[in-house]
Amino acid sequence: MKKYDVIVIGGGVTGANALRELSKYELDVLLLESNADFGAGVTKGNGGAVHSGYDATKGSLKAKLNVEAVEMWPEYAKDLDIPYERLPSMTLAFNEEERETLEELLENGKANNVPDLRIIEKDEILEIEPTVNPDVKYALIAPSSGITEPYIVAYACIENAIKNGAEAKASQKVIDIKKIESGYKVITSDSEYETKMVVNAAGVYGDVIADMVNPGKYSITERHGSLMILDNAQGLELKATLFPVPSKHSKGMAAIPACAGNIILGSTAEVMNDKENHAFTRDQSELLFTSASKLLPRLRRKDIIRVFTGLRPVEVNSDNDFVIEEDIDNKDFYNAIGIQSPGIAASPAVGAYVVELIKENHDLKAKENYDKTRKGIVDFSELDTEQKRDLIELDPAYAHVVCRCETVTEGEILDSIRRPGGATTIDGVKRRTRAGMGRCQGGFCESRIVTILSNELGKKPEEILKENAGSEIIIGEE
Amino acid sequence: MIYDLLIIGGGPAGLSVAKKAYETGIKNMLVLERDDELGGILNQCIHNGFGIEKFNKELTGPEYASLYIEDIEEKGINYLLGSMVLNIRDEGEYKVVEVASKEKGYLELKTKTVVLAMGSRERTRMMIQTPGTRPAGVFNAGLAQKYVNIDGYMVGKKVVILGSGDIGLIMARRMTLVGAEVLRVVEIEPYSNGLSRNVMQCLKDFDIPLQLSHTITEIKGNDRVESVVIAEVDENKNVIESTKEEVECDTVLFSVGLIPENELSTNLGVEIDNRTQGPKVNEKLETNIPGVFACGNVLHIHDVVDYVSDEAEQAADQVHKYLTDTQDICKRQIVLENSDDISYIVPQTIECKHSDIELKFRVRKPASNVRIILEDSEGNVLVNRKKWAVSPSEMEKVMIKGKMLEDIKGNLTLRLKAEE
Repeated sequence: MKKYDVIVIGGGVTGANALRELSKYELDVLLLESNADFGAGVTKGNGGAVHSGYDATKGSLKAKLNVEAVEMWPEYAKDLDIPYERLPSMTLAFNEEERETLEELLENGKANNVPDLRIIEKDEILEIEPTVNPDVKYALIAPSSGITEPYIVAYACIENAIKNGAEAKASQKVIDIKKIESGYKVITSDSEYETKMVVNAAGVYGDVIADMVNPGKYSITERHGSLMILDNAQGLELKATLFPVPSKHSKGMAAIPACAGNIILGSTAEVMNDKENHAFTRDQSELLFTSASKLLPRLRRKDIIRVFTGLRPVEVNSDNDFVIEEDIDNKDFYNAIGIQSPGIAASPAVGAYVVELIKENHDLKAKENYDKTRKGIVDFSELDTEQKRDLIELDPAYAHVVCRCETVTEGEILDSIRRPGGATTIDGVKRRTRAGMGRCQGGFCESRIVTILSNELGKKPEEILKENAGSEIIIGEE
Repeated sequence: MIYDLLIIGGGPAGLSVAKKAYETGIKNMLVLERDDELGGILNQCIHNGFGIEKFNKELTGPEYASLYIEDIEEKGINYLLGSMVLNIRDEGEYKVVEVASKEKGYLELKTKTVVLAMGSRERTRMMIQTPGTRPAGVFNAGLAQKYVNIDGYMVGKKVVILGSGDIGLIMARRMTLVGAEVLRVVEIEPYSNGLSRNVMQCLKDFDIPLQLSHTITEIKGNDRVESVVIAEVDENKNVIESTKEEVECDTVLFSVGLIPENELSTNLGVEIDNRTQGPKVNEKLETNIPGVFACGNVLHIHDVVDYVSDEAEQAADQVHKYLTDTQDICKRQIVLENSDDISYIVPQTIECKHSDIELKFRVRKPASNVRIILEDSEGNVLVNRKKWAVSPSEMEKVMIKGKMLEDIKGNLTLRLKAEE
C-alpha cells in the first residue's frame, strides 16, 4: 500500500487550494472527494463573487484571509487561467437609516484593511451602473471586489496539483479514520489509505470527518442559499456587483454579473440543518427575483433560466468564523472547516494558511521543478474569427458545436473529459465547459454529451451519470 | 461567391423553403443544418398525423420530411449538415453568415437573402421555476422523445407529465407503448393545451388521466426523481394547499410550451415581437432587415406542420420576388393590433394592399360561439367571421382580400366578440 504524507479530504475550493499549495513541496499528497466530481459540493452552489472583505468581523480569521486573498487573486487567476474579473461591489442604501449601516461597514472594512473603500452618492452610483434603481441614495463601493467561477477554481487547482505530482480521486467517500502509529488510516467505501497527515476540508461534512478522530469537538450547521441565473442574452452588462444593505446572517440578495455574461441573483439564507437538502421553494425563487428587482428594476422574468440551492457550512461554536487549526488532541490532523462565505474569495489564502500550519510542525522541502501554471479549456465562443479558423484547422472537433445556447464545441467537451481530474458526468462537463448551462438547459445537447461521455469513458450510455451514483440519465435500452 | 439564398435550418420550414425556392427558379442556394441529417424535429416524431392538410394523407414525421428530402436530393439542392450558424451580419446589400461546419471547418458565406428557419426550443422546468431538487429524471418532453425515438433508450418507468402541450400528449402515449407507466398528465390551465385529437388519441384511448387546473409544486429526490407533489390551483393559479398530494415516480416530463429560437435573429438586429417571441414581419414575411425573411416556428409556434410548409412556401415566393426586383414596394405601413383576448397576430404589419393576405393568430382562452372581427381605426369592418369554438392550442387563420385593404383608415385591430 502506498503511504502518503498528506491526505486532503474534500475536493471543493478549500481542499483543492490546500492540495495545490502542498504540491509545491516534496510530499506525497492525495485528495479524496466523496462526490463523483470535484467542486460538486459546497463549491458549486455559489454566486461567484470575490468579496472584498469589508463585512467580515474585524479581527476574525475570515477577515484576515479574505483580504489577503484579494491581493493574491489577479496573479493567482492568471497563473491558473481561471475566469476572474476585478469588478467593484456596491452596497446600495435607499434611506438614511441604511446609510448608518454603510458607515458601520465602512469602519469595519477599514479595520480589515480593505483598500479604497468609500461611500458614494446617487450620481456617482448611476454613472458607474446606470441601470440601478434611481431611488438609490448612497452606496459603499469596494473597488477590490471581483467575480470568478467557483468550480473552475477547484478544477484549476486540482489539475495544477496533479501536474506537480499530486493525486486526486473522486467517488471516495471517507467512512472512517483510524489513528495508527505512523499517522492515520483513512477508510473509504472501497479503499484504505495510510497517511502521516490529514487535512479535513469536507465542507458540510467537516464535523462528520472531525468526529472520526475527536467526537463532538465541532458541529456544522447548514445555511441553505438559493440562487437564480438569468440568461446571458438579457442585455444588461453590469459594471458592479450590487448588494442590498445586509442583514445579520446574509449579505442579502445580490445581483452578480457572472464571468459568462449571465446575472446571478442570490442568495437566500435559511438555516436548515440538513446536509443533503438542495431543494428550492417557490417562496425563495419569488424572493430572489423581487428583492433583486428592487436594486435593478430592469430585470425580466423571462430571462430566468435556473434556480439552484447551495449549502454554506457554519461551525456553530466559532462565532461565524472559519475554523482552520490542528486538532487539539490529534497531531497532524488539520481542520479547514466552517468555510462559508467568503470561502471562494478567501480560498487561495486558506490553502496557503493550511500549509503554514503544517510548516509549524514540519520542515517542508520545496520542489525544484514546481510549475505554478495551468491552462484552461479554450472558450471557442470567445475567440475571434482567425482564432476559430486556426483552432478548427488544428482539430476539426472544434467545428462541431454541441451546445448551441453557449456555443460549446465537441473539442472543448473532449478536453474537459480527457484532462487530468477531468469530467466523468453530465454535470461535470457542464461545469467545465458550460455545455447545458444555457437557456435550453441541455434540451439540445444532453443526449449528445451522453454519447460523447459513453465513448470516451468506455461505458454504456445507461451508466452515464448526471452527478452522483444513482443519477443515471437513461435507464436502459427500449 | 455570393449565394442568392441561405436557409438557416433544415427542418420542415427550411426544407419547404428550399423546395419552393428551387421551383421559382432560385438555384444558387444552400441549406445549413446543424444536425447530422435533414428533417429537424420531424425525425423524432414517429407518430402519424402529419400531411393531412397538405397531402391529404396521414404520414409520420420522418415520412413527411422524406417527401421533401427526396425532392431536394433529386433537384440537387445544396445543403450542409453538421453546420452551426454562429452569427449573421448585415452588410447592406449582402448578409454574411458565419458557420462552424464539421465537414468544411469555419466558413463565412455571403448571400443576398437569408431565410430564418431555426425553429423553436422547449420552455424548461427552470423557466417556470417548478420548485424542489434537481435530480436526474427531469426531462423536457422533446428531449425524452429524442432519447426514446432516435437513440432507442428508456428514460424512466413511472412517469408524470406536466403540461398538456402536443409533445406532452404524444409522449404520454409513446412512454406507455414502450412499457412505462404514465401516471397522469397535469395541466395548470382549466383546458388542454394540445390539439383535441391528441387528447383523445394519446390520453383517453390509453386511460391516462388528465388533471386540469393542477400543477407540480415540488420535485423530490436527490439523485433520481423519487416523487412529485401535485396540487390543484385556483382561478389565479395559486396552489390550494389542502389539495397537495405526493405521487411516487422516477421521471417527470415537462411540456410547457415552445419558444422561437431567435438569438441569431436578435444579434443580426432583427426586431422581435414580444407576443410571438419571433421576428416582426410584414405580409411578405420579411423582417425589418431587407432580404431577411422568417417562417415556421422561429416566426411563431405552429400546431400543424402542414401550415409551416405553407408559410415557408410564401417566404420562398417572396425571396424570389426580392431577388428578381418584383417585390411589391410600398411606403405605407399598416400596423396590425389585437385585443387582449388574442395573444398574437402574424404578420405584424402590412405594407402593400393589392394582394390577399392571410392573418394567423391565437386566442388567449378557449371560447365558443364568437365572432372574429377585423376593423380599421374608424371602425370599418374588413372581416366578421363566426366561429363555433376557438382555443389557444389551435392556430386560427383569416384571409383579407387585397381589394378590401385599399380604403382602410389607420391601423387594423383584430378582436373577438361574443355572439349573443
